[in-house]
Amino acid sequence: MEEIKTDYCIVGAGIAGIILASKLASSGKKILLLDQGPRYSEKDRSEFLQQGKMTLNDSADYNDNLHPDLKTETTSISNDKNSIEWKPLRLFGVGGTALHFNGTMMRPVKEDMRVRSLFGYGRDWPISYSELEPWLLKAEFEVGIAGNTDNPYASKRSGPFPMPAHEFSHYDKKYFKPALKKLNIVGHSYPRSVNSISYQNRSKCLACRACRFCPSGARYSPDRTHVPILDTLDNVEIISNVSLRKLETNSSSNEIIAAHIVRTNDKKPLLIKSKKFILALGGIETPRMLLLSADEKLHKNGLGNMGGQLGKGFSDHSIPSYHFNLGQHAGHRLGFPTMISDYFRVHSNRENQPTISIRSSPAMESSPVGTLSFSWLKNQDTFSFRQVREMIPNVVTLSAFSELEGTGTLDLDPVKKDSFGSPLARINMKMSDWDIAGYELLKEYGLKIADAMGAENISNLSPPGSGFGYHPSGTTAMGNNPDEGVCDNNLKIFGLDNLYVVSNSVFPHMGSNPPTLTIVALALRLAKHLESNSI
Amino acid sequence: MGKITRREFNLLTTKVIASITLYQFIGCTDEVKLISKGEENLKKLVIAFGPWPMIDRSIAEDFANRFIEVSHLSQNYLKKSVELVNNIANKLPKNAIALESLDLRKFSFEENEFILTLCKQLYNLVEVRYYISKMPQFGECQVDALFYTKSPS
Repeated sequence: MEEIKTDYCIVGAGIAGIILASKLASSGKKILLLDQGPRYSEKDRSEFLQQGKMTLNDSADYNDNLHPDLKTETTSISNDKNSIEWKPLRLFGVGGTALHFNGTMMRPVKEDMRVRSLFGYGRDWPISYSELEPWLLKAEFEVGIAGNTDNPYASKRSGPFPMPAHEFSHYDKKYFKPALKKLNIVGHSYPRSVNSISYQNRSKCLACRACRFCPSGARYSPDRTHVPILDTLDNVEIISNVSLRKLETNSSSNEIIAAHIVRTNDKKPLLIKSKKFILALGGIETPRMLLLSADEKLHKNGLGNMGGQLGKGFSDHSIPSYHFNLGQHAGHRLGFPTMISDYFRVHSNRENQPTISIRSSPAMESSPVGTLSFSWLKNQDTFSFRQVREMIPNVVTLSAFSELEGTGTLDLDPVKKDSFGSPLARINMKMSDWDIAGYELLKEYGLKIADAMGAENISNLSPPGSGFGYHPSGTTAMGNNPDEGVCDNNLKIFGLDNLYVVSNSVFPHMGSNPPTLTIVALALRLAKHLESNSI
Repeated sequence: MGKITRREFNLLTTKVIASITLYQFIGCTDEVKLISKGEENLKKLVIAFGPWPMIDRSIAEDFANRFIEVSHLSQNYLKKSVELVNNIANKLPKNAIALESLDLRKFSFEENEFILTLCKQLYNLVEVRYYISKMPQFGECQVDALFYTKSPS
């Protein structure tokens, strides 16, 4: 069997794995970075964009033509009335889901990390906001975040953003901000890893709005920034199209001795021996691999699962949305909203309801504007195309990231398997009454905002659970001991001396901010920890 | 609108179209000719219902051609709807483009349903919406990258 020996084996070449590798590389140690998906080129990006335009496929994406065997599925419990079907929206490939993410890079607020102590729900982080904050700032510089320090609801920062925020849109200035002001809410800049000015040899945003493929390179994507540097280093090797099958523990059950890998093109096995292993496989595959790697001793229920915490606390963001007919042209859209409000992240009675962050813009590209416009025009005898064409530029989207309590679970499906014969991850996603209260909050304030704008037509609020799939988190949580989590505050798996994890799966709790900035901060922090505990 | 992606929406709506028109398919007629004629008539509908005025007829035709090609690739849309498409097309003025309105009383219930579904699908597409909103083309970098900050008037 083919065998590779290395110092650090990082499984998963998404944003966490790539940034971790890039920081560890300076140590001179041998680093192996693996990913199940392919490497995409600039030519691929260009072709995906062109093909999407030619075929009128507004959802064209990187993994569209990837062999189905390589897109590991998940299953979801949905026949229970308390469970909501859940499907992931991740990508496979070097760059991971950050290949197509829209660059939202918000910080947690300090209370997000102490929700159990302060409000009685969820789990506390074993580290404080003040301990994480310097790493958040480093992360903002590492990937390049455009933002202003104009958010009155933000927790304390130790420095400014590396570049100014994108200028507010016409819609923000004329409609959204004044409407919020009527409700005594401040709209502020929306931190985003899309360059507002030239940064680290990448262009400023040229407003093409095809952010998924970002022809200008203004939107951060790890395969365009960190990977080209890694490619020049002799001590770093990146192998794509390989799939981790299992981590093997030693006879004492306290160390990983090998990673069993399969090359996806010919299914030939590959054995990796490494001094340290790091799983950076995202919110689903990271816990799944820990479950699949159970041994017959200490880790018989999955690696690090002595306290039964592996797979618990599954969470995501519910992203419900309204659409309004503003009654006048809302203005043009940059491709992403330029204003958001964190008001309800600090002005929310968290004992009884979750936090939400609210953003709005001229209708998103994914919005069914035609469907809405035709449904809002009710003339039984005449179909007025003219009125529809007049209405379409007036339609706006208002949506929220809504925090969840984290009552979902992830385990192994007893029946369904991946193309290599291993059980798939099975999600049981639930929304508690407390979670639903966040939905009700948007329902109430969405209508108030629409009213403050003078909206003529308002859609129904999309159902609870809308938008699931972007931010799976929480199932290999950090904790002080195995009864609280799966890894310690340095992301080392309990009971194993050389296995670490870094992804949103380590979040004990996720507030109403998308997780990516925190993931990068944790990757930078882990790199520092590993360097200071050198092999 | 949550979890329904645009692609899923398109599939969903075209399935609706297919289901309401299935019974109208004439089994003994030559299928190839029907599809071919249906293509021309569907193109006529897209051009008539779309937003492009006469001055942009070439844009309308290019769009309609791609729309038809994609419909062919994804499902039996034209094959099952061809009779209905032909009936509707025959009730439209010759060379109709960017119609202002349509008198629905001239169309049967099934034809009305078809028109509504087709139009919703059409006007959901980014390319159509951007055209209507006078937005620069999707995916093209802009010299004036701050266009979105300015009044659209």
